[in-house]
Amino acid sequence: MELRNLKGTTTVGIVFKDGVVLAADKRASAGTFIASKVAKKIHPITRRIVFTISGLVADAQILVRWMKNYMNRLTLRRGREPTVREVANLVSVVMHDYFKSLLPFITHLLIGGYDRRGPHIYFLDHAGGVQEDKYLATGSGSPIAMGILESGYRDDLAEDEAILLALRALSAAMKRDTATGDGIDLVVIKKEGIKTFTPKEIDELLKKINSRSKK
Amino acid sequence: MFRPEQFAGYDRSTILFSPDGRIIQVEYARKAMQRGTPSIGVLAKDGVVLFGKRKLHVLILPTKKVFKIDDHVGAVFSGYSSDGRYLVDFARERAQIHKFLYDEPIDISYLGLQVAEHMHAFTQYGGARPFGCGIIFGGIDLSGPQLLYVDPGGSMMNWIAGAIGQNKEIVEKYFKSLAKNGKLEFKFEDALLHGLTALFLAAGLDMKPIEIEVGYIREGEEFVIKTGEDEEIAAYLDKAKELAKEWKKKSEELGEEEEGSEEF
Repeated sequence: MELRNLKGTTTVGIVFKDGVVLAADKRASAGTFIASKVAKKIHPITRRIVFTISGLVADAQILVRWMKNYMNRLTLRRGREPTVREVANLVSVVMHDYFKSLLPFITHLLIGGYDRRGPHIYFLDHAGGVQEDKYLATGSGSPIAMGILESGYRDDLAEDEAILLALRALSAAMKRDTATGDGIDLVVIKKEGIKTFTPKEIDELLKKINSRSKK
Repeated sequence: MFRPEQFAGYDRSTILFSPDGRIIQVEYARKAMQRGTPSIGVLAKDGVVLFGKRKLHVLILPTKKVFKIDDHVGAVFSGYSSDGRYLVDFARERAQIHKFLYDEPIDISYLGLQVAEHMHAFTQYGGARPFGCGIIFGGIDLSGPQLLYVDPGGSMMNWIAGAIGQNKEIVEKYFKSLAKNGKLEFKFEDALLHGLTALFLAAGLDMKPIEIEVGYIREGEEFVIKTGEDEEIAAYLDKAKELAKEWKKKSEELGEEEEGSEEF
C-alpha cells in the first residue's frame, strides 16, 4: 500500500458492451519535478491487448518489452492470439516471482483487450495480485478517478459514453492530483483491433465534457 | 537376419542419414509403433472419440490404453507402453504448466506441438533412441474439437479419423469408404459407432467388451473414459459388430486388386 503513494500517474480502464476503453495521463514525475510531459503510458502488447503502466518507468518498460516479445512468439507457436486472461496471469507469475525474491517490479498495470471471450480488463499489483473488473484505475490519482468511475459506470454503457466517462475520471485526477497531468492518451479496443485517438480527437471530446459541466 | 544388408550400417544411429536421405532408426521406431495394439481416433463436429484395444488374457488383468491428460483432453497410444506412458506424463505436466502460467486450459495443438518437439529431439542426438510409439490426442479447446496425431519422428497431423497399431491399414480403408464426395464428417454418435466398427475390424470380431476402452469428450463436458462393458458403449457394440461384418464381406467381394497399400 505504501508503494501506491510513490506513483505519479493516473490510468483508467472501462469495459463496455463490445470493447474496452483505456486512458492515461502523460506526466512522469520525480518527486516534485516533472521529468516528462510526453510520457507514453499505454503500450500495445498484441494486436488486441494493451498495458497501461504506472510506477517505476524502467521496471514497467522492461516488462512491456518482455511481454511484447514473449507474446509475439507465443502467438506464432500456438497459431492464435493470447486471451487477456492469459497475458494477465503470465505477468502475475513473473511479478510474483520477482516480488518473492525481493526484487519487485515497482509498477501497477492495467491489462485490457479483446479476445474470443469478449472485452476484459485486469489490474495487476507489484506483488503479482490479479483482479478482473468492469472499471479500474491505477496510479496516485486512482482514488480520485475511481470516485468518478464509481458514480458514472453502468452495465449498459455505450462506446461513446464509456469514452467520455474515462476522460471525465482522468481529467478529475489531473485537476486534483499533482503527479497527474500534461494531457491524455486514449485507446479503444474492439474486435477489429486497437484504435488510438489523436490529440485533436481527444481535445474535441474534452470540450464536450467541459461544456456539460458548465451547465 | 536381424538387419537388412542394404542399409550397410546406416540404420545404426539416428544422427546418420542413409544415402537416399532416410533416418532408418526412425522408420524402425514407426514399425515398433505399428506392432502395438490398435488405437483409433475419430473427430466429430461436437466432440472427439478415442478408442483402444486392451491386452487381456488368462494371466493378466486388462491393460490401460486410453489416458486422461487434462479435463478437456485425452490420449491413446500404440507401441512401447513404457515410452507411451512417459509421453502421457509429459503431456500432463505440460497441460498443468500451461494452466499455472496462463490460467487457461492448453490448446490441443499447442500440447501436441510440445510433445512433438520433445519426440523430435530424440531423433537428432547421438546416443538417443526415438520413441517406439505414436500418440493420438483428442480434446476440445477454444477453437472446437481437435484430433491430433504425433508420430515417433516428431511430426504431427490433424486427423478427421485415423488409426495406429496393428491393422491400421484396414481401419484407414474403412474410414475412406465412409467419405462422401471426398469429405468425412461425423456427428458424435456416428463417430462412436464407426470408431467401434473400425476397432472390430482391426482387433477381430471376437473382441470382448472388456477389451474395448473408449475415451471421449463432448461439447461442454469433460473427457471421460469408459470400457465396452459400460452401458453407453455396450449399446453400440452389436450394431458396430454387424457393420464390421458387412463391410468385411463387401470388401472381400470387391476383391483386393483395386488399390495397393497407400502411405498415410
